[in-house]
Amino acid sequence: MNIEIQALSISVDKKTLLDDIDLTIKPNELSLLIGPNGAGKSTLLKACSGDMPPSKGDVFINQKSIASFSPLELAKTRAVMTQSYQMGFNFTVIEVVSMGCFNYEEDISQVQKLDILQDVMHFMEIEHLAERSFMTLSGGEQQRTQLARVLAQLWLPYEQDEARYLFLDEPTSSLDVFHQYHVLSLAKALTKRNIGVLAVIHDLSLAASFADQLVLLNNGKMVTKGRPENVLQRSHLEKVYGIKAEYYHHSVAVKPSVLLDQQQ
Amino acid sequence: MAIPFTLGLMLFSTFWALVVGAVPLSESDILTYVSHGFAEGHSSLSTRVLFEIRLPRTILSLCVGGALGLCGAAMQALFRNPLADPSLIGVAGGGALGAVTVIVLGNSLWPQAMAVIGQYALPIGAMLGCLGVCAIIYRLSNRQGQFTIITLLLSGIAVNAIVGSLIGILTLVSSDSELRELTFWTMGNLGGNSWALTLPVLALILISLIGLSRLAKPLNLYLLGEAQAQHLGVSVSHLKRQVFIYTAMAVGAAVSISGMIGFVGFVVPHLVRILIGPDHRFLFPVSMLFGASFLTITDVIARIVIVPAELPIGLVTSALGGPFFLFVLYKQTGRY
Repeated sequence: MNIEIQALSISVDKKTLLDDIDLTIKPNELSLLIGPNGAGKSTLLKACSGDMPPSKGDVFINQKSIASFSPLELAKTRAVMTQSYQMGFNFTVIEVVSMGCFNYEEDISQVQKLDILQDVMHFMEIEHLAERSFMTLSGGEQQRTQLARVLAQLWLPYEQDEARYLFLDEPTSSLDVFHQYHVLSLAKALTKRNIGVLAVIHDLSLAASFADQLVLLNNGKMVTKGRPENVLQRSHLEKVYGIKAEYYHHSVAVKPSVLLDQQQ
Repeated sequence: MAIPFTLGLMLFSTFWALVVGAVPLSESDILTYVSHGFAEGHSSLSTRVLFEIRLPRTILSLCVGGALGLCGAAMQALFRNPLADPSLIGVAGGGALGAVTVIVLGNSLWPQAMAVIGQYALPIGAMLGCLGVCAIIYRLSNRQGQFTIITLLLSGIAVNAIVGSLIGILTLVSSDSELRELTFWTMGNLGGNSWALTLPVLALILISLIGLSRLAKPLNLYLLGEAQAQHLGVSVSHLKRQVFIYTAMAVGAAVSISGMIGFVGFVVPHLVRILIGPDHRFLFPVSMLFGASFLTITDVIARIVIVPAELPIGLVTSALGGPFFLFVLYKQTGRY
């Protein structure tokens, strides 16, 4: 039970976005994707969530090729949060969050549904915004609302044998420090419920603090993957990002970080 | 809350439309007929007025109004834009082209056919025009299994422009009486239609409205974005095709029999959204009921203002609806 990405290549109009990627995403792990802008992180996420068909290779979710899933089957297996969302109509926050219940809505009572909505909104600390119009929220509040909706999609059944997956494309981009840590801790907690998480993160220290598996992409190719301390080596950072920096873990009492040299 | 209110409004407008007119019918007459299950013999003048003129006309106005209201809401969802209306997918332009072709060229090109089908010629022409133009726009925007909204919008605009110039050419070669007829067609008219003409239209409209109503929940998700709806388990291209086809069917049928009635499809859903919010599970039924009531009431006004003549209904919908819409818009600027 996992996601197997096998020799995956994606090209659009002769431009290669992803080149021969092999990767396994396990349900009990938090996998984080890092890499410079245009490295192919979002493309890899789209390939795993079924938005982009592979040009070569294949993606298997729980041993089944992703192409063989219907939209509804996929919705029961994985949830996705994209980088941007446009909303031209003013739904309230609770209406937006309740859209996450679409795939199991018919199997539960109205009371159960309200409980789920309360739970996920409590998790993302947006209960006080429930009746506000989505369009009037700040960027961070909108992001938390969307996260709550995505969480709602995987909320039921609470635990199941069949592994499920969560894909997050820069879930922390508009969040303050507290909520960045909060969201990643939550992602980590979800892995205990047989849910594998794959997220794109730009903040290297944040990535180092939470990743079970860190995947470094550059120009559509996978540079390396593994434990943060191995991936975030000086040579990799220099080659991929063009920065001189060091992975630094002071003690078990603090989270690791990536420290930049004074002289760049 | 809004659904019972608009339902009441619709029942009231129906009753009013049956009572009011050149031949006065009393409320008790109507109630007697209704309580007898509309089974009274067709003898007296008032029964014939009721059963052969007013009842089909009222039912037609309810269905056309409901179709325009609901399809307008569906189009605004499909384009994810509150300014969209059904004419974007070519129903109005296609209908007009078909109707104008029949009016201007019918008698000279197909004299036998015109003699055989008689009163059906105009609606059939309009329906064929709708189907043709919608089919072209559908084909243009449905490429390689993808049904993209931006291609739909652009090809809709281009095809509508071509259709507009064809209508212009036909208008140019028309005689004075034909010109008069086609001008009135573009202003809409619900009158003079027998049951035989009304029933097929009603059937088409009802099928599409039921089909559209079932799409309310997926369309809510669709407003989050196409990718987002797909992630939540909606088959998005299937959804877009269904909305297109049902709307083309319902509005095409409506236009073919009633001519062009502008404004309702755009303003009714917009107004309802201002009042009750964008959730399609409520927006759809309320837009439908409100559209039905609105068109029925305006049709009564169109009938009684200049008795024994009638105003084209398209004029009344805009003249009444416009100020009302502005009023609500200025009262409720906070909500939108």
